[in-house]
Amino acid sequence: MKTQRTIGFLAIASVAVASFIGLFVVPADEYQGEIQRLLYIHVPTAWLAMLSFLVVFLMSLLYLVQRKLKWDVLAVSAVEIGVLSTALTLIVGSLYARPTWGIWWTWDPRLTTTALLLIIYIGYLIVRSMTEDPEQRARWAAVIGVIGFIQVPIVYLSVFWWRSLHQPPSSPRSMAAGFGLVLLLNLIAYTIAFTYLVMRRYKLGQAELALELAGPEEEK
Amino acid sequence: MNHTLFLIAGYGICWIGIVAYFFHLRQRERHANRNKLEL
Repeated sequence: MKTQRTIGFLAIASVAVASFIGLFVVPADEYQGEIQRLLYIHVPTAWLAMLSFLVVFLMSLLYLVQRKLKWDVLAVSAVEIGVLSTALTLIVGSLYARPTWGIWWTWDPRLTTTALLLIIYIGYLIVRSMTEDPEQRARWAAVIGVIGFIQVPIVYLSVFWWRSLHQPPSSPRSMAAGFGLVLLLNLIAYTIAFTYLVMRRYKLGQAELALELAGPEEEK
Repeated sequence: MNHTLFLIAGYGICWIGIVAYFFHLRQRERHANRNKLEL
């Protein structure tokens, strides 16, 4: 509990500091101007989405091998945060695209594959709601968690495989030192926030599962 | 085009999304704790 609270405070503080630096300290980009500051949230949310779905893939595999429900709880925790991150990536990306590309949305390979990624994991959550048997639910979800992960490298490589309007992946190494450092700071800050949310969601998932296994008569 | 508005919208939606999810979790935690006490 104490560790969770510490990570929570650390997440708030680091996101606040990283955002302040990204918005007010680092200079604006020479070509894109002020709008480039959206990159400091667009890249971290995209990274969190990929990280979440990697966690889902690993936990789903573990569940299929060991059949322990705790792996399923961890997988669904990561999916919820991954869906949120993917949706935020698309929304912020759209806000970034309008002033730089002149359009809100286009059926570009990177954008389309990311939208498909979101649909796959929303589907994961819908499939879970289709059965009340925890074992069956975990089994179905784990299969989607493993197969659905194929979409993650497709999203990442889409800018290399097809002619895309979207630029190649941005990372602290692909940018000038000052900008790269700010991006790295934001990546770390949002990863701490992600860790906090997953921990909290996992704990909740375990409590909900315990109630579910206790029996439907008692649950109100 | 006013980039400041786009920045406010981008950062605003991102933070609101995260905070809303946090409060959604808290609400579910309260619900689970209430049910646990009733068991």
